[in-house]
Amino acid sequence: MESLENENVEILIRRYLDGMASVEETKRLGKWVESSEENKANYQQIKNLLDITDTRNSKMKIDVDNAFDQVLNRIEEKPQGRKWIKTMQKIAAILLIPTVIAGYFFGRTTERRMDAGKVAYNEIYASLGTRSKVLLADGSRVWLNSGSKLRYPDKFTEKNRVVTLTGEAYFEVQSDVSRPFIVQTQHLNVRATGTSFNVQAVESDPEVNVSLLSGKVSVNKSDEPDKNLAKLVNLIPNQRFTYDTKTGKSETFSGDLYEFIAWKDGRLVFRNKPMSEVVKKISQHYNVEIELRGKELQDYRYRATFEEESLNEILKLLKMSSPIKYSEVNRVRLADGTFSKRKIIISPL
Amino acid sequence: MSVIDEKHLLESLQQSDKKSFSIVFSKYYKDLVHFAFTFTKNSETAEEIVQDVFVKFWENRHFIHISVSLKSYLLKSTQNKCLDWLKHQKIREHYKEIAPYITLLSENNTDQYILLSELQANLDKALNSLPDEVAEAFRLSRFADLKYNEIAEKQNVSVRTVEVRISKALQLLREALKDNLWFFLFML
Repeated sequence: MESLENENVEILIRRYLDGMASVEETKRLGKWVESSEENKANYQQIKNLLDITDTRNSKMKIDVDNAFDQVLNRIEEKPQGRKWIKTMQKIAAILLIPTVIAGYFFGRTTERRMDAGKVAYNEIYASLGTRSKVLLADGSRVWLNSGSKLRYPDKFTEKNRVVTLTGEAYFEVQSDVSRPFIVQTQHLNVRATGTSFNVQAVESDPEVNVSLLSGKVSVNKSDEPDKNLAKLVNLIPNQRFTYDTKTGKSETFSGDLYEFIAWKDGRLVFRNKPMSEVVKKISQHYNVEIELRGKELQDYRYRATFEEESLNEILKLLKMSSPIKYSEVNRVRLADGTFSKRKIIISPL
Repeated sequence: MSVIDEKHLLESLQQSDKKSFSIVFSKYYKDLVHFAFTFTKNSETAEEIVQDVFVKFWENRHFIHISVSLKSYLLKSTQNKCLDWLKHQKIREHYKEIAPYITLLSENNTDQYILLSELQANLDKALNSLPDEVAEAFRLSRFADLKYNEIAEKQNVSVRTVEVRISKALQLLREALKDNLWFFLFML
């Protein structure tokens, strides 16, 4: 190591990097480093190692999320007026990532079995946090929401097309007037010919919803044998029918229904929705438990569109635009060796 | 992240995809702050500098051409900003004499720099390849923050021996990590 042969150059480097070197020592080190490319390379390698193993450095706490927020704020132009909505919409429009596609692969657990007849039935289940898409034998398409199950035959009969749904699905039914398409759920049957509609019949939820986007459907009680008594409603496009299976009460809403079917496009759309509902949707979408604390938050109205942002990004956006803070509960290892479900706590600021 | 992934990431970033930007940010932010800290010795300044780097990186995304790797590009940008910052620091009394050497001694080879996260991922393996007493001296000095005389007492040897052990550790680590460097470059 040239002129510093007798002296341990590494000690000198350490003194210099620790800020302990005298002016003389610094000059000596400088001269040694510039005297050859080899010395320079050696110096830089040692410096590299010492720099990153310096505990003042390596133990530094760095909040990446917070830093990213700050950088985002600086690169976003600041729009006029209702700033956060615009910001949100912009971010939502930009952040597109096809995680749903992964869901199509991982979410499917198809099971085939032979029934009494000759028709083979398939059952498809969209795992929690994923959505699945199914193409039926007649060309009808079905989007299955997280945690939902669809049972359908390999081939439909000549008389009708019957599928069974537990959970939520959006249907785009091929037009075939001679063979009605029937979605059976625990409490309601939805009968259609060629239409687009969404059925939400989640077992744990007493409310069943049918939203019609185009065409015509009739909704019937599934456990009422008398045809006339079973009939509940005929829907026209942009109507949403809500039926409370506990009380038997029902209502029909007319208006823009996109927010109810946006999930099929991987979007979460909230139009002036209370935080309690926002949180419910997010937890279904991402298969995560969310606890909402504080009464005032339950009714806090929220308006936003999310498009395949990660859960962390959504939480961050929520925090930016409403008076909340959130924390994540540490996951614990359960007796069977798996980990508890991810849990987030949202509370008022 | 493979070289190909990184290429795709850059392409979509250049098409103003903020998602890609956030991926790059989360991947490199911490390491770059640690890197900047070696110049500034102050965490707030280090974070400010690295955030500036990322803001510029986004603003100039259409004009960025990366020849070596994204990592080395970001390190270089950070280093340039840090050196500028150093130059604007208040000149201490004795600074004038060593000023010509400050830049020289502060500069890093950004193309071959080992990031803290990369070291951490490989350190245990690398340290395991060292003789026990050498690895211990190194750990005590660099991670437990002990002074040489404290380590000497703990290891029951002279301060001089501790110095030799740490030099030895550095030398062996450099060799061990040099082999890994190619591995790193492939991974990034």
